[in-house]
Amino acid sequence: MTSSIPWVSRLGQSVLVRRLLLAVGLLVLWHFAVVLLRIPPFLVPSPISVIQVLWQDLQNGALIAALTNTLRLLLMGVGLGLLGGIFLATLSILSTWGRDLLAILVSVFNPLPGVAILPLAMLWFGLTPTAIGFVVTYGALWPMAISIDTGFRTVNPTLLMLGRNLGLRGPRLVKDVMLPAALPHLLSGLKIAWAFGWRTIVAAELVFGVAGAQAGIGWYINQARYFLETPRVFSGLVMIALVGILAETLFNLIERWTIERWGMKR
Amino acid sequence: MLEKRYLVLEQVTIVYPGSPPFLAVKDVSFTVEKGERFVIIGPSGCGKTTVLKAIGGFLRPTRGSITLEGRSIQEPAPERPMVFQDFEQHFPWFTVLGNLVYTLKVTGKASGKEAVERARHFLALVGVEDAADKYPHQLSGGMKQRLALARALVLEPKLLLMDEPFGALDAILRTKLQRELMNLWYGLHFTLVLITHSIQEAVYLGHRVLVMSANPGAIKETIDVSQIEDMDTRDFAEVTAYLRHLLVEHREVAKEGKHDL
Repeated sequence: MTSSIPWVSRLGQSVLVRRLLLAVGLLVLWHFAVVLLRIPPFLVPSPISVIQVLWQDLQNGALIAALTNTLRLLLMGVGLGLLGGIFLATLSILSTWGRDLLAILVSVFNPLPGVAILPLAMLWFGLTPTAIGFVVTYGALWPMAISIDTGFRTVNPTLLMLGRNLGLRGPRLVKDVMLPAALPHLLSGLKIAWAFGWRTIVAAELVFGVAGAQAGIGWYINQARYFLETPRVFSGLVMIALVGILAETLFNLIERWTIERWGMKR
Repeated sequence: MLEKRYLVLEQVTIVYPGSPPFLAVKDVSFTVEKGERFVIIGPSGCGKTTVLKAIGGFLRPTRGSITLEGRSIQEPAPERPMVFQDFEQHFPWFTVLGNLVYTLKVTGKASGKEAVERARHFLALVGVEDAADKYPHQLSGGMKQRLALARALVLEPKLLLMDEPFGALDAILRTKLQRELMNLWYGLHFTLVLITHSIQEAVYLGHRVLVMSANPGAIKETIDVSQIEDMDTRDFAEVTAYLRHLLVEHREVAKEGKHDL
């Protein structure tokens, strides 16, 4: 049986096809806008030259190396922020002193953006990856601590009683009951920390740059700007967007494997 | 005569701190025999849950003492597992089987293969063996309460505490689970302290029924119903009528007391 529905509407029924078509359409629009409006390529290159440079730098490894450096630093920073957040939230839930400590630290440092303390980090660590890692850790720590603390404080009291009933106390109760129960909050904190860290690290690399073997994606873009290689600037930006999309997908997968499977998604 | 004085509450008074402090339970004393099914009934706010939490070790009496086999109860312990009314009383990140296995492992009762075997045995005992690999959120309310019962029984408890375990179930399921609980008791002879606000449930499940009154929570009367189990008898009807009279009459007295203030 052949359907009487026209093929365009049939294609439109798939989300993937719809989005792919729209993306291609936008690229075509971009290309013709550049050509027809005679925009100089050093301001806005055509998508074709961007894709060429992107492909070239992916093959010679320059883009991958830059991306790896940035992501390694970001993962370390967010990881340390996560551990620090768990530590502070645990102190906070186990004692009133810890609770007040977290309240003070968060109220002072949370409004202070990571980039703002970058000059200080550079005074301490110089123009090194450590300085940028420090800033990312700092930026990840506070949203993580706040989310995990909220998660701990909103654990179903029945689950806590159940844990105590089984003989769990203190840190063991935190590890076995509160931490998994706070996973929805922890994951949303992680998303915030990631987004925050990603923006911070790119900005820090762009503005201050860390050259040499440790050069990241921000430095890659900045170098391209310096040599007026606008297609290369664009290809760096495309990579940043792609990593963002990939990270979003990864977080969604983690949620599906854990809190959705366990019926914990709020 | 230790068996007769298995669980002993002496002059237990519990005050919740605050301003003003709230006197939840006043001078409650009773003893429970080993292997007895002891039911506490009373109107909302009579402090019956507070008493049960104190027996569980979740809170300490302000005055008085609670002992099990002569030893003072200080904190919660796996030998005194509590079954809650709340359906969400399982770890959502473990499967049904995983919840029981974890319970056995974390309390040091069993490990490895033995833990899994014992867990399966108790799942079968309460009739949820088919759901072993499901997650708790996929179970119905009745299944969740059965699992809670299994989780308590797998610990081979000295004292099983149940806080209105069937209170959130529909009437048919409730009757069914009451019967299953009785069958389990005939097989295992655990000692049970159960709270309910259902008169029928109290008379059916209990050897003895303790009636509490509110403002403040205190003992009104203890009734022996160990000879009455068949719900369709005249005795059953008479005892439930008497209990209803006790509970309703008391509530009215409490209301009048409030008016005097």
